[in-house]
Amino acid sequence: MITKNMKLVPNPLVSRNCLALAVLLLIHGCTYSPIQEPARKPDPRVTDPSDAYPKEQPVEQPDTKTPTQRIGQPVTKPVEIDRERPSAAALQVLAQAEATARSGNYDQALLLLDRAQRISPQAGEVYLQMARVQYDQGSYNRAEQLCLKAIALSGKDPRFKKQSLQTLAIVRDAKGDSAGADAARKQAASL
Amino acid sequence: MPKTRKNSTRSRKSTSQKASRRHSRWKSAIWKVLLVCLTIFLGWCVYLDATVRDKFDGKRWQLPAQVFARPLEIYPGLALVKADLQAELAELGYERRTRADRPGTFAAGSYAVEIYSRGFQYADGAEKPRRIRVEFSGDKVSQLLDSGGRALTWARLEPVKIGGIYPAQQEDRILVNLDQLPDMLEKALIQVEDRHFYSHFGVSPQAIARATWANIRAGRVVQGGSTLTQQLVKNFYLTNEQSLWRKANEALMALILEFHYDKDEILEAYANEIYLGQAGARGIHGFGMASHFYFGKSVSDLTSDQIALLVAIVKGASYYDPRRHPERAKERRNLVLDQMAEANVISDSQANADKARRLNVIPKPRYSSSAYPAFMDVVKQQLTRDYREEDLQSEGLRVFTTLDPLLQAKAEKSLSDTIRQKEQTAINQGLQGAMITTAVSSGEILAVVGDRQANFSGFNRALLAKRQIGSLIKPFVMLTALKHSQKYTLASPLDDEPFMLKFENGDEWMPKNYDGESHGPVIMQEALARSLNLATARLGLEVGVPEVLETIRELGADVDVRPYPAVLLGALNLSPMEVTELYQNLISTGFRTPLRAIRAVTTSNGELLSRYSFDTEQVIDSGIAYIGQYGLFEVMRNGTGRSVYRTLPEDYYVGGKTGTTDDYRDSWFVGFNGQYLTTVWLGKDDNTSTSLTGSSGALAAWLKLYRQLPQVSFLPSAPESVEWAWVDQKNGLLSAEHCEGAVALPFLLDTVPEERAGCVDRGNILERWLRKWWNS
Repeated sequence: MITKNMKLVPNPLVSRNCLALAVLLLIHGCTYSPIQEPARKPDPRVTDPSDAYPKEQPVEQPDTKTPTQRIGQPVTKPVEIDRERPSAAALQVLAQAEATARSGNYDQALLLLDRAQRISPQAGEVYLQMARVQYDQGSYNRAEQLCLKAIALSGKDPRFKKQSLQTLAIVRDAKGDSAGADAARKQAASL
Repeated sequence: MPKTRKNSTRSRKSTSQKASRRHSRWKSAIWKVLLVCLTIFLGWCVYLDATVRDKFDGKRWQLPAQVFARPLEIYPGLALVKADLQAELAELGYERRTRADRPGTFAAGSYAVEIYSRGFQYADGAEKPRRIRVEFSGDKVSQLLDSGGRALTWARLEPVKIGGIYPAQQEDRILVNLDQLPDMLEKALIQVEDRHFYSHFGVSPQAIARATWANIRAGRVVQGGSTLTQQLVKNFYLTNEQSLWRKANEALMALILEFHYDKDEILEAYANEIYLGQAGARGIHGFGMASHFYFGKSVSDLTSDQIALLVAIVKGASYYDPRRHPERAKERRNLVLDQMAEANVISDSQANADKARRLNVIPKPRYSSSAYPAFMDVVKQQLTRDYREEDLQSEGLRVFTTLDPLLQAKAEKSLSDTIRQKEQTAINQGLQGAMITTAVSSGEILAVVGDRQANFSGFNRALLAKRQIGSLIKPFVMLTALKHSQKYTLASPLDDEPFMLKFENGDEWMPKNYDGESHGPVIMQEALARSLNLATARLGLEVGVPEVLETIRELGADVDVRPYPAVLLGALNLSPMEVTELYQNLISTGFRTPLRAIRAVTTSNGELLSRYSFDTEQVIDSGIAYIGQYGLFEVMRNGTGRSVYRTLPEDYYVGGKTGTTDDYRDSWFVGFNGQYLTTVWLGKDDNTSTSLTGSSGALAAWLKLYRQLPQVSFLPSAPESVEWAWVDQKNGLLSAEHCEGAVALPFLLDTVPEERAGCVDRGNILERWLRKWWNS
């Protein structure tokens, strides 16, 4: 989940140099279908819907009509996103939450972490820190699930994934699941 | 004679003795009566004393729980337009000025808003008033600065109060201590209502004499001689009955009260007890509440003219109601201002300036008329799991909820506008609807509409209307199949051909497609996008209805139905809230997160009682869930939801699913972007037909809402267990990007179809080599 002005991994078909594209087109001639290109606006910022798009048209009742026209463009692999990092605001809240948790005020720390989640909902750090606070409170099951969530959001960042797996191993040890802990440790070591 | 005289003397003696005896008998009777009276009087006094002390020492008031919306959190990068920020400030009763120079004011320029926030006791601590500057670029916050021009990373505005949980006698109040009450208000009140408050002992004979004389001269009651203490006693312990008995009790109790308690305690109780207005069935009591009710601000922020108006209203909240009788209220306010000047509470020039001012009373706040009944139902449902009803009504708890009033207003309007539009067709007369919006990542419930007339507090369809969900079930049938990853993928060919199922009792089941036609072999992805009944029913029967129901249970709906095949086509009754929870979990890449309407509950002093934090549990493998949720994009790109791309830009990724039930009884749509998930239901309460499908009805309301929301794409990162491959859209065979009819689909590793479509190997070798080089 990203806003459009976040950094997107560029689709190679659009970002590579014109020379390569020209060579390809030359080779492939006119058979190359533009339909396979995801339409991208030059400026990917979030646009104000009130002034940028045509007026709403009547909605048809299309439950099973064969799509004659690909209104929303064909299915192609969606834009890939990098792992989302916490924003500056979220980082500040995370730091505040950590200090609060250290002073033993776990309730306040978790309220702060909920705030960080609202600011950067896809940042794995938020969930990993939630897991740590839950662990400190002795809520191991919750902590384990939050570690899994952090891992699911680690994208292609092996360092963060490793860190999350190591935390998972500690949590699983604490809840007495040594097999699960070993598996997590093994996976972490392979990264 | 002497005898006679003697007799006569004796007789005189005996008469006088008799008289004396009679006299003393009378005397003693009178004494006895007096003694009895005194005893009764003393007994009565003891009784009154106990009554007075019992209530004054104990819990004086039942304080309703106060329910707040989410505070608006502001940080650079936040998708927020200036108009929305101003709408929030208006809802909070902020005054627009040329400079934000005191708490509760703001100034707006063309691309920036300067705000002087009010102090507030949040669930995570108290915050002092502060001045911030919010700068916008497009529809985002570009910068946040403090009063010294230093960059801030985060700030918040105090939350809008959205309601309360009221006790039976329906009194609404916010307690204030005497030291929270402005000194000016205290002085003005004493000056106008009881000048000798600090010198009398509960009753003021002087005031009574003056009032009696004035009343005799006027021939009617024009003046009261009650002290503040008597007024408090009347409001606190007695009724409004006009009788000598009541008056006598009032005086006695006032004396008792003054005997036991000091003046400040009495004044503080008065300031919290006094009746100052009416909001529907609820009375507004005390200056703390009245200040919010009339001016949208806390009592400590009142200006002198506002203080004068509140003091003016004391005389008769209904007669001097500034909203209904502004002229009358203004006249009285100006009288109070004169008296304040006379007592040097304010200067003459201040009084004159204030007298020229308008009343500046805010429109009746929304919370005062239960403006969010559907959301409040959800809050109460969650609260009653952890709190007793009587505590909610009497302990003054502070409930911090997740409601986003800006989004709620947009949702309400989108739903009611759509219904009005659809009702132009005769068959849709009497159409009703419900709408729920949640935050995709956290499961927070942000808006709930339970009626086409959102502020109508009646049948809450969002929670209570259990309706057939129709095609909304299809993604769950597909997901169940995808769990058998070696057998099913999004490219699995399905047979969209008619069939008949015969039951042991002779019943037959023969599902049909919406258009009455069959579409031959289709891949699972297309069957979902086009909402094909025959293909879905066949798939569901292959994996088994009980297993589909199990998936639904895993994702949060507590369904208890027999596994009839008709369930596969949505013969399953769920409320919009249950549907929301199901889809929320369906798009969370395998993690189940309970929906929440409350963040925290504190005591009236701000001590944290409960925290309802984010919680999650993985219930489905992330890879499988990712592939399942991906199917919902295709519904919007090329399926039943594709009409939205006539309005939305193509690179805006949204997902969703339409649902229509037999005879167009229910029109459903659940759709989401990267931030929000929204469920819309349209239909009639009597379950008769409409002319609406999911896409012609509910989807239209959804689109109306999402056109006003920030365009944040839903782009979850693919788990490592997922890879992408090009397949032929017709038969699901492995294809290639350059082949006609090829689509890219996500697969679990090692489940990409191996059989190749004809076109794959026809590509130019050099081209393939170049592509490989290019992609490497």
